[in-house]
Amino acid sequence: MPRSSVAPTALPPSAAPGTTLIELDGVGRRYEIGGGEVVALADVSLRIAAEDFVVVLGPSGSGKTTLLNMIGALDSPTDGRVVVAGQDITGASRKELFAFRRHGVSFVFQTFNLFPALTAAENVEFGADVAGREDPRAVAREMLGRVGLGDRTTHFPHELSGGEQQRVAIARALASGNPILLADEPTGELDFRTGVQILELLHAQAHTGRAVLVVSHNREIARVADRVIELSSGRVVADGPPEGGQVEISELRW
Amino acid sequence: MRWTLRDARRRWVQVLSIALLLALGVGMYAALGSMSAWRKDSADQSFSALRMHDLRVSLADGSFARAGALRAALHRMPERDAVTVAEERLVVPAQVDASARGRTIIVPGRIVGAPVDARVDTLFVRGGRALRAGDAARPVAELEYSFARHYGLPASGTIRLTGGRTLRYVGQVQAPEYFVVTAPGADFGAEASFAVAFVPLRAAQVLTGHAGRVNELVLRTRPGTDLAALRRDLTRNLRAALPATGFAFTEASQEPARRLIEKDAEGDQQLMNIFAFLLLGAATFAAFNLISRTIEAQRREIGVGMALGVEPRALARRPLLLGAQIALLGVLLGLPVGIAGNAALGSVMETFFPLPVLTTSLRPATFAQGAALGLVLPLAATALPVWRAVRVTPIEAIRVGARAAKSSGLAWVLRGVRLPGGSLGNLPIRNVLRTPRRTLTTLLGIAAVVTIVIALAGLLDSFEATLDASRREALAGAPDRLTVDLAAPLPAGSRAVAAIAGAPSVGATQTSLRLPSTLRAGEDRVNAFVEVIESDGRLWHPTLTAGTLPATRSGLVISSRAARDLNVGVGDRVDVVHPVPTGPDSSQLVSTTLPVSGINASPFRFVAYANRAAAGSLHVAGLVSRISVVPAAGRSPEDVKHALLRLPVVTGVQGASATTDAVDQRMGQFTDVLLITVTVALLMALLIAFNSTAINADERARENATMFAYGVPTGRVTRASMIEALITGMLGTALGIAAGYGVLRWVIDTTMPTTMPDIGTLTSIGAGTYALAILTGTVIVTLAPLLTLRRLRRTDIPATLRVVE
Repeated sequence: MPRSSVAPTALPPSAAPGTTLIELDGVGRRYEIGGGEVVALADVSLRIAAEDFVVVLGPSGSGKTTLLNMIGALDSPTDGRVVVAGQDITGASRKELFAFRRHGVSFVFQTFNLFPALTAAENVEFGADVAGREDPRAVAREMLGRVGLGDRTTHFPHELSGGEQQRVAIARALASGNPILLADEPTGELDFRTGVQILELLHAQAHTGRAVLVVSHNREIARVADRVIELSSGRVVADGPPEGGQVEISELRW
Repeated sequence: MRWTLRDARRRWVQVLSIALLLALGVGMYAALGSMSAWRKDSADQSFSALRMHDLRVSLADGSFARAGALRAALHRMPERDAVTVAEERLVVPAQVDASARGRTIIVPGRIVGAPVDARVDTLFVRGGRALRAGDAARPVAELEYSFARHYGLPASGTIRLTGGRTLRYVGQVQAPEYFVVTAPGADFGAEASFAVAFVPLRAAQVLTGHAGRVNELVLRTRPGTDLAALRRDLTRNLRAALPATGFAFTEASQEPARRLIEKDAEGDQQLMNIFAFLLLGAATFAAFNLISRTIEAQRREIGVGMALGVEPRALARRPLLLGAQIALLGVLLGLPVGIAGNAALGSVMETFFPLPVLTTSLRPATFAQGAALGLVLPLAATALPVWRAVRVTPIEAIRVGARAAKSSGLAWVLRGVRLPGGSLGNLPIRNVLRTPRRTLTTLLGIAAVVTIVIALAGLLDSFEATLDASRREALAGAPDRLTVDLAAPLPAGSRAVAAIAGAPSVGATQTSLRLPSTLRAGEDRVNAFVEVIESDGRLWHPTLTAGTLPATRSGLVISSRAARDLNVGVGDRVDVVHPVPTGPDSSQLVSTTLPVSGINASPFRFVAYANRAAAGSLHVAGLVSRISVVPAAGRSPEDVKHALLRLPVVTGVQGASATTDAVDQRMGQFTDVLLITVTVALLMALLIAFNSTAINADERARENATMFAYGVPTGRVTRASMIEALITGMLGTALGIAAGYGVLRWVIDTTMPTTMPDIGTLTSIGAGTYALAILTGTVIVTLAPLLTLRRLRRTDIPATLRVVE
């Protein structure tokens, strides 16, 4: 497989609606486990554009997190090609993948993974710092304001509720200014009401020129997506608008 | 149990390195703690094997008696049956020239004349052959082994004595009084600067010009003999038989060699115990910290068990067993470490105290003590976090990541404070503050090792500083100065003194009189050499730190150490008990009271000076026993030695710093033991740093993975860990330096006076020691995260970021 060249330069933080940001062609991922082979992904091809709010659905072991890791350059495919924001990261070196993650994608995790020693503002500043943005402090202030935590900047994570912590995590992801936001079960640790708030926040980001990809096993969440990609045993079994049509977030119940 | 073994196998590097840490502590504790016991055992067996005397009667310096007169004193004694063997000896000071193969070896020493078939103080032949009955009247000798070994002399050969006489020696031997060779009047090893030749009594009498004369009587007594009563009887009889002659008794336990080896072993043991406790303390504390953190990492598993309804007791069993396995492995490994340490220390002791019988076996009781501590503390280290873990509710226990964090520790201290370097640059200091308990225990572990390094290496520095100060004082203004000791005090205007001053190789001279004395103030007493000197000596004069040495009225200048031990100061009066010549072959001990007029700068307790005005009070006016000389222009100190050795009145010509050199050798045993201990401490520092880093990497796995997910390169993550380690290391080092200084002061102020009573050790910590402490506590600790670089590179980022751990 030819090695691609991924320059550690900043990608555009936003793109025109309809611009393809994520492109997967026949992507497969196999693991050697205990002498046997496990297929986590098989022949996955898809394109995701700017301003798409995509939910990846599937049961445990369906390959949705593997798919997220491929797009987020945390893992490399054993088959196929991955192009993200115009960069072919398929055979990128470790160094190139690190550079890509700094400037291409941002993550929101189920367990938030905030740095407990840093305040909310400092956690957000981390995202801007790593991406090499100008005046990370001002960026952090702005992002915290955008997620409704402008008055909680000096609080440590343990002084915030779960929903607030996840908002800080989203602000950290946004602070990087990267065009693609990847969220792995972002409401998994939250109660319904807080989960809805987080979904609203993520949904809103898709309309700022970013592509937002949310991985979840919760079918209810998929109802608010622009597009739902359903995986089963590592294969895409459905790809299109939510079944029964898109609904407003306020209509969700779980 | 199988589960626990699997735990141990999974973390085998960590388990092994914590166990090794414990093993070093336990093993060295046992080795250092066993020293006094095996030194005493070896000494007892050696003294017994060579039939050491129980009591020695020695006539005052320069006094002699007719052969048989001393033994005759026993016959008129009611308790004579208590004495099983009594033998007379002749002991005469002499200059010994053992120069060979172009190497100049000229030292003061003595001729010991004793029966060839002696039944008291027999000789242990180390090389060559023993003296035989046929040698009784022949001028042949045995050379003392420590001196011969120091200079690598052959098993047989020839030495030259004062006056140019030659003496053939046929072997190298050890005698009980010279298991440790001491310079007369001072308690320290002098194998390099003092030579003893054992000669058949009759030959010795002829050789030294004292035909038919003796000056010592050595006795062996029946077990249970009242030596005090024996001394009383002997005193009465000797006074009657030799009314003009002074004499002194020395019991076996007071012989310098025996005291140094046996009794001082207890004093030395205090020092060794401090080293032992420091090493064991640092090891067990570090093990406590590391095991505690390892178990803490299993908190979630315990929580899962609790959520599944498993009994807390059953849950506690597994981590407790892991702790027990580490402790047991540590103790088991401690045995070979102890044996190896013991062998290393035994080899040091063999160098300093070569004994005919040396048994350096590890003491089971001492090992058991160390093993008990090595077992109990790690178990406590396990029990504490287990106890904490089983007390929390299962739901809290299984919480992970940020939601598990209950507080930010002391991170609030820097809330709103911005340090340079952005959020990543601020992370290390915030992490240090966030987990104060962990930071403190890590910091204390580092501090414990640095304390050892500072205390032990500082002790070496202090020895060196003390010796340097002494050498500077001895050689001030005249680095080539030599001291020439005379066989007996002579009038200053005598031809012999003039001959020395007039020797072509001799430049300037300065005369003095040296009196082996005892200084007394109330109940306190101190042995010293009082040297009567010119107040305005042109060649050399002592540096005073207080008071003066007046020109006209009597004055005595003693060392600050002697002043402290006698509890006197300038202006107080002390009694000086010293010999006064009463005839050509006799002297008497008298007591003279002198005012303390000053304190000299020598670190040695036994150094004291009196002025010429005091000479009258001391009954030695106009007498000379020592002459300081410097070589004439174009002549070397060796030329002076060779020239003066030919003069019969000269018993010693040595560099002015010879006493310091002898002390240097006495301190050598500690130097070697300290070096072994410091090496072990450095090894422990490496193990602590490695373990601490490995555990840190476990604890920070999620944070590191988050940084990787955001594209922070491994190098930057490692750098952040290194900065965090640097902060902890610097704090630990600073604390360790302060604690180390405290321990050093305590050792010098409370232990050294017992261990080395003759030396007022100065407290000094050299730049090299600080550098070693910084290397141990800061550099090694800071670089340790590099050991986890490979592990960081191989982090499975997605797996680490997921909830399931």
